[in-house]
Amino acid sequence: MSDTTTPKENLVMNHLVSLSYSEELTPILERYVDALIDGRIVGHKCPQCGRVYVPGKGYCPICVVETTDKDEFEVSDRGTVTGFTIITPVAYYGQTETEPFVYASVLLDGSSGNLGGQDIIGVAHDQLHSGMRVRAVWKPPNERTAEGVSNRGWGSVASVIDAFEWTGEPDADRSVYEEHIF
Amino acid sequence: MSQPRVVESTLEFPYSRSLGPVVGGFLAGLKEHRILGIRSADGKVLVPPLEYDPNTGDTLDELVEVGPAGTVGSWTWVDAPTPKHPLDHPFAFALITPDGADTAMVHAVDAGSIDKMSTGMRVQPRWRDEAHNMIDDLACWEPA
Repeated sequence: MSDTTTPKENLVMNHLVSLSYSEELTPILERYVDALIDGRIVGHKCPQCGRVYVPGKGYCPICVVETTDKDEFEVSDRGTVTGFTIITPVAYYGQTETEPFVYASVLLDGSSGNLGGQDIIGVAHDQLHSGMRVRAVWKPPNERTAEGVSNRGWGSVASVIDAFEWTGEPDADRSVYEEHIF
Repeated sequence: MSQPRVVESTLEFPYSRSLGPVVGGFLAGLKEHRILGIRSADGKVLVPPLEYDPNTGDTLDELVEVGPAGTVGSWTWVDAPTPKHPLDHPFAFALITPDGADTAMVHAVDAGSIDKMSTGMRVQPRWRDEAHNMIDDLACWEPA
């Protein structure tokens, strides 16, 4: 390099890419959120195969048929743990958890697909297992919001349901959840 | 039907990038209020410096000081800046060729109003108060 060059240190550029979205919910998600705030979990039931999608998609991707408000179907706020992970958090950017926490998939009674990423309370981590029966712990009505629900697929319940707690019921039969384990 | 809900969400990706001798040299120069280009195989000075010759692919390593003043080539006026823009009031994005350079660099020109902008106008750099190893250590350009 010529004499004009000065740097011998290895410079590092810290660059935070931040993308903010503001989106109007689709009519289907509007109804989904209205129901959540009301303490109900609704999806769409395919008129052809009977699969229940929560939230509704407006179509059944298996049968390729449209689903509408007429196909709205309320599922239970009780369900079965199909699988789970105990995550020991590392302090990466944005991670707010500091202690090991549960990330469980819950198959709500009446739904055809898991609700992912749910906390399970009322049971020690080493007692968690697939098949456990759980029920939603709802936030107080005045604290329920649409936050976290988006048109991009991850219709969440985190803004209305804090966690799922063990009901104390006997475990579900394996046939209930064996097709829903990742 | 009532107005649909509008939900807000933000995705963030924190990058930490090791800059190497060429881009690192350029940003180290900005920290000292100097603008560095790099000499290509055919003798031209490229600003900002490239690590490889665009024509031959050869590794380049001869950093050359240019500027500090420069000349505006084409430009466009930004009447309503968004929070992502480099300035919080109307400004121009322009192609600026620093004196001694053979290429132009894209940057902001804080001219105050569109009437002050013209192709061929002379500009000088305005430096950021505290360097942070980003292109906006050269905060913007202003009429010279």
